[in-house]
Amino acid sequence: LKIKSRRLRFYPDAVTVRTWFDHRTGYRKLIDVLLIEHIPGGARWRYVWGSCLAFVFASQLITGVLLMTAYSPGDSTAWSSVYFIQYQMDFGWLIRGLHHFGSQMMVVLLGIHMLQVVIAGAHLPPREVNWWLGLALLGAVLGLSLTGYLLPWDQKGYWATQVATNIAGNQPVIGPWLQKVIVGGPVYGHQTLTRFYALHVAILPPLVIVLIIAHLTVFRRHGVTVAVRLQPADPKKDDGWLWPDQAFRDMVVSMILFGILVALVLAHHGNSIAPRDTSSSNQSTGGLVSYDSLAHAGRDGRGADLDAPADPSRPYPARPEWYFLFLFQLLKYFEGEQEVVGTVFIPLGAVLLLALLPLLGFGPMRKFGHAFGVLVVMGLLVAVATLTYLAIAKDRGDSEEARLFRRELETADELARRAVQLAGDGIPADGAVYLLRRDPLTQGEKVFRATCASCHSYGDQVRNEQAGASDLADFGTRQWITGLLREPDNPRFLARTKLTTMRNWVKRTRAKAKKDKSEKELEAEFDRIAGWLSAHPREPVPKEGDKGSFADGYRAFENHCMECHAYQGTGGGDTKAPDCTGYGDADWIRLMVMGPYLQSRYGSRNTMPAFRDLEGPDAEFVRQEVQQAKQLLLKDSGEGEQTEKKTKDIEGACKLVHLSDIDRELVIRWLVKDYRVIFGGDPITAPFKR
Amino acid sequence: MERRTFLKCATHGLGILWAALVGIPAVAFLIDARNRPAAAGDFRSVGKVSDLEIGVPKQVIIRDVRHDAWTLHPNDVLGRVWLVRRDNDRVDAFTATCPHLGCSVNFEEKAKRFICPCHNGTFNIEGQRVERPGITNPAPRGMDHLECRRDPADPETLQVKYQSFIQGKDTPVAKS
Repeated sequence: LKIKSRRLRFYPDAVTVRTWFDHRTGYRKLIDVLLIEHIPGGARWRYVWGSCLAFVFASQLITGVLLMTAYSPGDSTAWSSVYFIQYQMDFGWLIRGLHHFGSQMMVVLLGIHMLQVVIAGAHLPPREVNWWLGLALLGAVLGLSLTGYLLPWDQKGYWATQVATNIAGNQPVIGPWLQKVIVGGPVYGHQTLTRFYALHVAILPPLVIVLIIAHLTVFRRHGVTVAVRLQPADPKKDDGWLWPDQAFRDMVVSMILFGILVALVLAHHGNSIAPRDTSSSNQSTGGLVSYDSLAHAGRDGRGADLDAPADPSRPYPARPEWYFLFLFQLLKYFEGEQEVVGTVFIPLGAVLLLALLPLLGFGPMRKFGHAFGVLVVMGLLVAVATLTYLAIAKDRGDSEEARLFRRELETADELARRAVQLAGDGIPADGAVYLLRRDPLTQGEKVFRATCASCHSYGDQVRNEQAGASDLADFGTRQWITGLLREPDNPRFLARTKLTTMRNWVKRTRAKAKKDKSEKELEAEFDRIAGWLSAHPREPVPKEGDKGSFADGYRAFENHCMECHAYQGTGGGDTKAPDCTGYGDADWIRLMVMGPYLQSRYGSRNTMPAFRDLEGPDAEFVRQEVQQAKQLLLKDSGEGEQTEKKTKDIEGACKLVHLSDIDRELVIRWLVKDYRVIFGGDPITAPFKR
Repeated sequence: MERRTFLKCATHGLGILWAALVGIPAVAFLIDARNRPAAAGDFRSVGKVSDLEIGVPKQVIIRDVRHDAWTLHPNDVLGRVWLVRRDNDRVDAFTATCPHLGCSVNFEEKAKRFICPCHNGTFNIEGQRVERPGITNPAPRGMDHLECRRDPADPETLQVKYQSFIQGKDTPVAKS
């Protein structure tokens, strides 16, 4: 007997892993508690909604924890990390997409669940506490949505959440204080994100879990609410069980919902990194889907949308996520001091009304209470749907405002696409917001308009009919140089400049060729020069007898241009014509922008101001340096009759105008069509194109 | 098949299907870092040969483009390097990272040896691992040599190709 009892203690009879584990932990009892539930009247498809909510919430937990492993809350990192998840990490687009659309699905399911509960009268006594727990869950889930919307730190979330926190700030008495605490300071920043993140991942989810456990426990206490017509005649017969009858139904509907989620994620909601190439996508549909194309489908625009990085300096037509649109619309009907009606009184009133519904279920009031509950919930849902529809219809409408909204949204979308494209080469440590602020493509033209357009045109894009200097569209290209050598008197080139020597030389040379009947030869020579110069030559002067193409171009340049223009220290007379080493490349233009009065540019014949950073620490140095250059030019110009005019010219040649280093690089890169982001810090540079 | 059994199997089956549909991408997402290789270093200038005294190690830093997930640092410190000039021509370069567990190796002027302050990894001025009486030397190999050359454009300037090596192995294996 003694041995037998020992055996029983340490070795359960039929030793399998399951029985052993159950013997040691008693886990089966737990599973039984969870699964064995009597459902009077049998399993029903209509009972699935609570389980479906639990399923989607579980999916949110899983995808949420996965996202946590890659997300980085912080003003300068949040957008970048979401970008990285969406476009770089394997299946990041799927995980983020499931989380994004899962949150919206939860809101929809909450509506369905709530409606189904009141229709069944399941909120009435004795289940009123569970109704309140459900309302608390609704609040917590909406809180999760609100906090999650901000986390990508994109324009959409940033501006939409501004509205929400400002509403908090408008509340009487504690408003301003409350807003500061929520936002983590007077304005949005690092601590706004850390706070919202903590709420989103560490405070609200555990709260939801606790509430779900309470909700389920209380639910078990009273069981499902069986409609009268479904109540079995004999309670002992026609029963159903949670496992597997109801569980199967729950699972089937959950899987359908999951399928809808996947379909939503697979649709193109985001921005593709490269313009979608129809020819290649046609090819890929024919063959097998590769792991890479599946793992990085975010690059084709699949998954959730990611707007441009949050930028307080850039406006955005803010709208909340669609399920908060009704509140947004509600606000429109109240102005000034009445606003609090729309932001607090009506929403709070609605919640209070919902909370009071079960109390109408006592005694003889029950029937009325039930009907009234259905009416209230239906009414609220209809009101929400109507307001949502009104908000959407307004934005899609034909009014001036709606058109402006759509235009702004289009601009915002374009910037979002641009930001995502630029991010592929790497994001500045200063933060993703600098992707667009230092993007030559979108910012270079702005700087050009503000700084250069008073004298220069840029094709039809920036037209200045009074431009006193040359048109810089395609400056330094073969076409531009050929044009200059063909018609120097065209206002695109030198017509309105003081550079008469060059103009006259071209005309003289062409006239001479016409006389000698050597026009064709001259044209060929000019073409060689244009070809050679447009490659921005910087190589050493070729040796005698070099027959290469570089040497060939150089010879043409040497024959025609080097009387006035220098190249790599050779040639150039005292006519003060610019040095052609690297003509038209970024370095050449930089020297022209910063020191047009230099001997290697236009010297005393220059009329363009020197654009320098006059707000930095070396401003004084720059001023003194230019002053000295001016003295040198004056000294060189010597004494003569025209001294006064010359002095005036030189004064003009050495004018200084402020232009920050970043803006200068923006405009230079824009001119040479190099659209890589300008990285701040030292040196102002970016890596070579991949 | 009995109805109950069917329902059980179907429920389990759907659950397993869902677990796979989410689980496989989830695992791929978690091990995504495998797609980010160690930066393949290139030769970077570290200073003038004439600044080095023969037989006196000097620590220099290597700067280069550095990618950190999404961030690009155009000119960041990649690591530190010990340069030891042997004679007029020859210069040795060692990474300052200890081959034991990756602490930073210092040079002890008096004893003319490299010592890692964490676990007493000790190396002579040639970078070879040496024993110190009464103290165990946990380093599995000598200090890691880095390729070092003169700048082809300017022979006065030294260039070093920076690399990281896997710790704890008997022979240097570059991280990939």
